Amino acid sequence: MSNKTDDMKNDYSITPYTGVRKEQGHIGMTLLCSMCALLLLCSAGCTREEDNLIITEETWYDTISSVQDNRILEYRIGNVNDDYTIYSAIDDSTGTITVYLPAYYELGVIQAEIKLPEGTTISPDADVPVPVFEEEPFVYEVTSAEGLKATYTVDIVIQQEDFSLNELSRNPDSPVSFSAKESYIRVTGTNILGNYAITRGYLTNEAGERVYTMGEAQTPPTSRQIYLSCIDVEPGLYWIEITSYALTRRMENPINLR
Amino acid sequence: MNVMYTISTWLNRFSLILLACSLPLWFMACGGSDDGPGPDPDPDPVEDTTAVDNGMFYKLHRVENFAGDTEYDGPVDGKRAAIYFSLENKEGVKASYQKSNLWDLSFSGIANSDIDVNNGSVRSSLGYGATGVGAIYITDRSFEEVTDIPDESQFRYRVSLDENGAFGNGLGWALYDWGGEIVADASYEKQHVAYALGNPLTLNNGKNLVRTLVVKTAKGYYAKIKMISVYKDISDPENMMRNSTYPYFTFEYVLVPGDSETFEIR
Repeated sequence: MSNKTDDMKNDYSITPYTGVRKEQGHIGMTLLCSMCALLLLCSAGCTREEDNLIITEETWYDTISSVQDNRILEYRIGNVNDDYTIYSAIDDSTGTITVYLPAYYELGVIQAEIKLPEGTTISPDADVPVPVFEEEPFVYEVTSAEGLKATYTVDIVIQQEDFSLNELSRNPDSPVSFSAKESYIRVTGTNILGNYAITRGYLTNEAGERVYTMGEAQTPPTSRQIYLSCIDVEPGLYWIEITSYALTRRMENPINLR
Repeated sequence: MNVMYTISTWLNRFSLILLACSLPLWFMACGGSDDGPGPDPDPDPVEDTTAVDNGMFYKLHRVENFAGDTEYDGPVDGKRAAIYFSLENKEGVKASYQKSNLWDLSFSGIANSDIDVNNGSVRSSLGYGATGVGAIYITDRSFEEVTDIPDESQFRYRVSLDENGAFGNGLGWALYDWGGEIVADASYEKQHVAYALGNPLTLNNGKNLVRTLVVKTAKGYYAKIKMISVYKDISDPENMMRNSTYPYFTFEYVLVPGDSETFEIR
């Protein structure tokens, strides 16, 4: 048996015939593999094509056909001279545009740059500035070329670091005095936004009501100090209140103008 | 044997041809998904653009009694709140618009006498941090004589009082006659009077002064400006007195597009 096997081995390995058989066997296998590969690839390709078509069609019809053009594609703050762009979050389902606004830009209005689908219009126009501090919400209405409408409400979220004031009077029972006729009062603290257009000082009464708007001084304000003037104020005790952009702080102890 | 060998060779070649043909078929099959049917993808968005009011260009505009910080009740040399003016829209602009390119001139400082421009890159500008590109140039030529837009290198960012009067430094748009003796007869009524220099003003020493401003606006247009008065309802220097109501600015200007080389009135 073993000899026969050896002979057969020899036959298979050295005789031309067996050699041909070997080649024939190889070609047969290659052909078979090629045919299988062809069928497999074609069928796989066709299956993939069908799969892709199904997926693609579903995806496209889901994302494009069901979303109309009465929408805002992009909303960003245009009046910031910076290296990067502040985009806002648009929620089509709730009709809101959330503007995250760092306080250090000191914006009183937003000049929005808006992208719309082709043919869509917006009202008010995109070049109408959006007030940052306004009781009434700012609302856009967009209209697609087909006449479909949608509204978007601008929600401004101001990101401002808290600021603090140092008391002018350390002892409430012994308030520091200034001239009621003319005084320039230096108020110190931290994280004050040093811009008189957005940082204002007021004299308030004990009940917290604003009774006098303090003026600007020659010295430019900084984040740590601001000079405010009092001219011809009724003598009495006052509590200084500072509004710096979106935040307001009031001193706990009064000053005495006399 | 030869026959078998020939057959095997042809079969071998055929298998290679089959393999070669199968690849494009596969690619075609797979490629079909990219070109499959369906609606066109999202159209290219169209950026919303701001319309420019071309009707403001090439015309002589006159602004009368543009009010400064008239609520100010402090000392004469105290700092007044800044006010803002848009040359493009020919109107005052609220202080809340400070960080925008919607204004071109600010009037601040003592009696609102510092004229600044809106430039987001210049720290001294009230528009610092925003997108304005404004600049200003002052010349001792008259409004009518100024026809060419100066070279960019001649612009700066602030113009104040003139060196021929009190508190002045270099060419300025107004002369402050502290004692009343520079321009007038030093009488009490003519003391502490400020004269805008847009129209020629003859001093007691014989000098004849005139100043014209050229402003690059926040959006890059150009304007030449003749400052006429800082007093309410008064344009004639003879009638400007210490008790005249101020600061109310009267001025004239011509606005041209940013790519202009000359000022024209059409």
